[in-house]
Amino acid sequence: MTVSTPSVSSKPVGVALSGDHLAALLADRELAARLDASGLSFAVAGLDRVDGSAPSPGGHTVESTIAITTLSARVPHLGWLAAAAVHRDHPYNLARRIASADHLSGGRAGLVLGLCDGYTADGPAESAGREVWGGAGLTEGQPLGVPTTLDVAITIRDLWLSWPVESIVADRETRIYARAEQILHIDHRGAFRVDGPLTVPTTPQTAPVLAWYIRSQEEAEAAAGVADVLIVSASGRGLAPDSARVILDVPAGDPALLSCVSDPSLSAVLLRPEPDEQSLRAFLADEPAVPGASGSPSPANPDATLRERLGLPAPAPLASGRPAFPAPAPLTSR
Amino acid sequence: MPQTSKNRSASRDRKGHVILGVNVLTLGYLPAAWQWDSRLSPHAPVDPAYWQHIATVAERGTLDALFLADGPGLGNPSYDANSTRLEPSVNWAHLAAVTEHIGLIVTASTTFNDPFELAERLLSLDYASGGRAGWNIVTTRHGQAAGNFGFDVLPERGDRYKRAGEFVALVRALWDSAATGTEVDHQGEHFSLRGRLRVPPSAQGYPVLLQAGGSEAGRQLAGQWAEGVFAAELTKAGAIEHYNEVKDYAAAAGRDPDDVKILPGVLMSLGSTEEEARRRSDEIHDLGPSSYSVAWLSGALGIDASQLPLDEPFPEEVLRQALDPSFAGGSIGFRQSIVKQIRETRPTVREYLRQTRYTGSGHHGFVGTPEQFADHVEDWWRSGAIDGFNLQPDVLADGLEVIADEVVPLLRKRGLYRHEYEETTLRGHFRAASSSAASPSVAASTPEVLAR
Repeated sequence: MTVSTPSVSSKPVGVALSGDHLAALLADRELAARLDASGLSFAVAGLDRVDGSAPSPGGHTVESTIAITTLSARVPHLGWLAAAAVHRDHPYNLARRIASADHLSGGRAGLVLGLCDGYTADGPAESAGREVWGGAGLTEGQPLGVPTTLDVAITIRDLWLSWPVESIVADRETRIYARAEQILHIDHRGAFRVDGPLTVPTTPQTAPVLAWYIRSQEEAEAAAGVADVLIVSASGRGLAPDSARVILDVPAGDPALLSCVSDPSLSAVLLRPEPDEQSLRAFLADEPAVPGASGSPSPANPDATLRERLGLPAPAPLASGRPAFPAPAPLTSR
Repeated sequence: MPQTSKNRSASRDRKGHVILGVNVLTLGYLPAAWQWDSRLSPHAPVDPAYWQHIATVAERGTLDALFLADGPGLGNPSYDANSTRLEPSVNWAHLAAVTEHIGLIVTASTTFNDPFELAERLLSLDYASGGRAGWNIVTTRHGQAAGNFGFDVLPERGDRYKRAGEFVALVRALWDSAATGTEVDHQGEHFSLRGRLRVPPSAQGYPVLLQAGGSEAGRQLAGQWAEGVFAAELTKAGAIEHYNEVKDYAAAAGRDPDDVKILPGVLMSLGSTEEEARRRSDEIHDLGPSSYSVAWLSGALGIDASQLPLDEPFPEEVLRQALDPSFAGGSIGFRQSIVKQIRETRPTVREYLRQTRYTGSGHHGFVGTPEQFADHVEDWWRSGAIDGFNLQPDVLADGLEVIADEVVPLLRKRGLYRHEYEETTLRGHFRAASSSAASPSVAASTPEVLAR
C-alpha cells in the first residue's frame, strides 16, 4: 500500500491495533521500532474490544491501558489511545489509569470509549441488564448501552479536570505544596456516584483525549456532546453530526482510502490492518506505511501532544465544584 | 496458632541471600520529601523522568523489586506531594519499558476492582514486563476511596476480607485459564462469571502474589498462598515470632516454607555518621507540619489523637480498644505493633511521637550509617527474623542512591547480596535468594502453568 499525494501529507494517520498486534509489539522490540519509524501519528490499542467484533478463537488480548503505557515509552513518536468500555471496569479506575498514562507519555494518551467489551467474561443470566460494574459485586450494576456510557464519559471527563495542575505551587518558603482548595469534588450523581477528585493533576495536554467509537445514531448524538472526537467506520460515516470532529476507521489497503484521506471534514484517518500478527508485519513492512510520509520517518514534531496531533483544543476548566480541601495556611518555622 | 519453639532460619551460616525491595511512597515516606532534594521538580510525582531515575538507581543496586502502595482516593496534598498517586499498574507498565530486571509490584484493592478486569490487567503487566509483575493484595482501608465508588464509608473489615479470599481464588483461576484456554465457571458468594483470559502467558507464568495485612488471619492466608509478605514489625523478637508463624502455616498447607518470603518494611534515614543521619531525619520531619504526626497517630489507632494530653502516658482504654480486632479504625497489624511498642516503654504521647522518628511507627525505623544498616540487615537475617527487607527511604531521590551505592556493596562484601542479577523474573529473584535454591522442593512449588 503506497499512496503519496501532497494534499494528504498533513492529515494525521493512525493505526488500529488488535490484541494479537499488541502482543507482538510488546514481545518484539524490532517490530515496535518499525512502528515508531513508520511516520504514523497515533495508534489505537484494542479497538477490536469495543467495535462489536467477536473474539477470534486463538486471538490474544492485552489490557489496553497497560499496552498503551508500555508501548508509548517504546514507540515515542506516536500518540496512544486505549480502547475500553466501562463494563467490568469503573469510571474512577479507568479515568485514573488513562490520566496516569497521559502523564507518563508526556501528554500523548487518550481513551476510546465503547458500549461494551467484547472480550470480557459473561455474568450469570439473572444479572442481565446489570452488567456494568455489577460483576464487581459491590453495587447493583447498570445496563450496558448509550445512557450508561454517556454517564461514564461525563464522569471521566470531569475527573480529569478535578485537580488543576496550577494549584501545585511547591513553595519552599510557606512549605505549601498545593493550593488544595483549588482541587474540586465532581460530586457526580448519575449511573455512577463518584465524588472525586482524581489522584493526579491535569496533564501536559490538560486532559487525555476522549474519543468514542460510534456504531449508531443514538451513540453519535450522545458522543457529540461530550467526546473530543468520534471514531466511525467508513460505512458509518453518515452517523456523525456535521459539527463533530471525526476520525474515519478504514481497512488498511482499501482503495476507498484515497478519497477518505483527502476529505477535509475529517480530523484523522485510522488504518486498520487485519487483526492477525502477520498482517501487522506486512503493513509495517510496506514503504511507506503512511500516505505522504515518504522520506520523513516521523511527524514534524515528535514531542507534540495527542491533542496537537489531532488538532483538538484543550477542554475548559470545571465551571464549579465543592472544594475538596480547605485552603492551607503557610507554615511558620519552629 | 501455638507458639513454635524452633527458630526456623536462624543460623550464623544461613545459606542464600537477602531480598531487597523498595517501597516507593512516591518521593519517600516523609510528607516533606518534596522540599528536600533540590533536583526534584514540583511535578516529580507524575514526571516520567523522576520514575526512570528511581528505576535506574534501583537496577544499579540490583534490587529485587519496586513496590508501590496505593489507595484509589486523593489525600490532602496541601503540604504533601506524596498524596499524588499515579495508578500503580500503569506506573509500572511505564517502568516495564525502561527496565530489564527489577520486579514491579502493584498494590491493587480487592474491594474496588472487578476480579476479571484486574486479573486481565495484572497478567497484561506481567506479559509486558517479561514476567516481572507482582500483586500486593490489599482490601483498602483509606476512607477517602469510598466516595469515589458510591459509598459513604468503607465496607466493614470482615466483609472486605471474606470478599478478598474469593477474589484472589478467582483471579488465580482466571490466570490459569489464560494458559489452558479452559473457561472458568465460577459461582460464588460475591462473584459469578463464566469466561477466560486471552492474555499470553508471561515468562514467569503469572504475577507473584504478595500480602500486606499484619493480622493473625492475614498471616494464615499468607501461609496458604502468598509468595511474599510485607510485614509490619517493630522489634526483632516480634518479627521472629511472626516469621515462624507464617512459615508454619505454609508447612501446614503442604508448601515449602521457603516459598513464602517475609519482607518487613523498614523506615530509614541514612547519614555518614549517626549524628548526621539523626539530623537529616529531624530536618525532613521539621519541614512538614507537626499536625502530620498527630494525624498519623489518629489514623493508625482509629482515634482522635489530638484529644490526648501530650505529656501523659496513653490511656489504657485507648490501647485496649486498639487491640480489639472488631474495632474499625486503621490497620489491625499496625495497631498491634504500635500498642506493643507503647506498652514496652510507657512513653508520654509527646515522647512517643518524637521517638517514632527514629524507631519507626507501624514499621520499624532505622537511623544511622550504611555500615550500621548493613549490620542491622545481617543481624535480622541471620536471626531468622526476615528473608529480606522492604526499604522505605525518607526521601528516595538521594536516599536510594546511598542504598544502591553504599549499602548494597557492603552487603555484597559480606556475602549477603548478589553482585549481578541471576534471573530475569520476579519469581526467579525470590527463588534465587533461597537457601534451597537448587533443591528439588523448588520444582515441586512451580506454578502449574510453568510446570507443563
